[in-house]
Amino acid sequence: MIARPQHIAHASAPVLQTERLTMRMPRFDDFAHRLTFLASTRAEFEGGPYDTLTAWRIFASEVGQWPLMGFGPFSMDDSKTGAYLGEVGIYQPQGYPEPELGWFVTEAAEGKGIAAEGAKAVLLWARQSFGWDHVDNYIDPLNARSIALAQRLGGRQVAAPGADPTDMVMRHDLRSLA
Amino acid sequence: MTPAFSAKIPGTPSGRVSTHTHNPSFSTKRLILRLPVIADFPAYRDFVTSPRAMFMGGPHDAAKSWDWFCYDVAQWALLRLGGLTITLAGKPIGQVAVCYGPNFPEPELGWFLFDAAHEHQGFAFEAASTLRDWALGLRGLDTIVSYIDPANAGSIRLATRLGGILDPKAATPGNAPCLTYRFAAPQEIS
Repeated sequence: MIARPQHIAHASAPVLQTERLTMRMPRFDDFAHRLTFLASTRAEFEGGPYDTLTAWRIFASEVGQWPLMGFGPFSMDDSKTGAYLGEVGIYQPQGYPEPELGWFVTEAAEGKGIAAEGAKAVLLWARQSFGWDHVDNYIDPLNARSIALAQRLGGRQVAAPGADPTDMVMRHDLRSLA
Repeated sequence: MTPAFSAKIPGTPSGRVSTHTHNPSFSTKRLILRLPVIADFPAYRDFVTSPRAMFMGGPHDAAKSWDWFCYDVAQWALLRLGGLTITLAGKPIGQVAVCYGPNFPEPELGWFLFDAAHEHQGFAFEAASTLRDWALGLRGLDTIVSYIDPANAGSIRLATRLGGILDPKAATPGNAPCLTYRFAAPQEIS
């Protein structure tokens, strides 16, 4: 069982640079993109589609994890154009047994390896920041795209509790990371 | 119905500098108002899941109380306003907040004390008047409101004592009956 950090190392997201991405603290303008996703059928595996108010609650409560727990979502921008591409981060709402790796990309950014590139950076950051030996994804068993991405990142299904009794729990072993 | 939502952060007037938005904290005569920390959560949850939250649509379940707790904190990062824990002698006794988002037509000043034992001592007034002054002063909002259940006599009394004026024309959140008390910057009352 991995644990929350005992002190808040990061009250807001640090900037992480990858080959194509600049990852940063979410800001208010990002909500329009989150809303487009959460209000659409693309959010079906996250319990959506949601109305505007619920989407706002979800977005804001995730951002609030930073000052409270020292981890949370990173917004991903295209480093060249500055375009918003999506979000990858570590999430732990009430009822999550452990901090969880999650992701979302805008429709336009799908199929380009953006989520994978962001997730790799977040896994390395989590290892370096907290020393965790693993991080899990909780994935709806019907969400084939996310399952494939978890596998591509080296994730293996484990028999551990998820957020929901039906979740597939995909574990990423971080011990080989620096 | 989903209220219209301005895609702008409210109150960014030219010339007025907003401070206290990254690590907001205020000392009043008897209280310290500071950013919530995770150790405040049990007291917050116990309030939101209790009948004392009836004027906030409660009691709610624990998962919702966690979402709200995070949400009130996140507002500081997203909108440069939000919730603060009210502490008395180092102990969390309640929350005061100016919150906004698509759930509110305007930025809203709200308050609650976790425990009835802390009521009737002016703590909520002390906290709310401090945040009201900041919101209308340094933060640069032209006006803020409090949305209050018509049955919530205690909050109506406090809103009045804080200088709030009933605004029957204001848009209200949701469909439940709700009174809007408006606070304006002093120079705009005259």
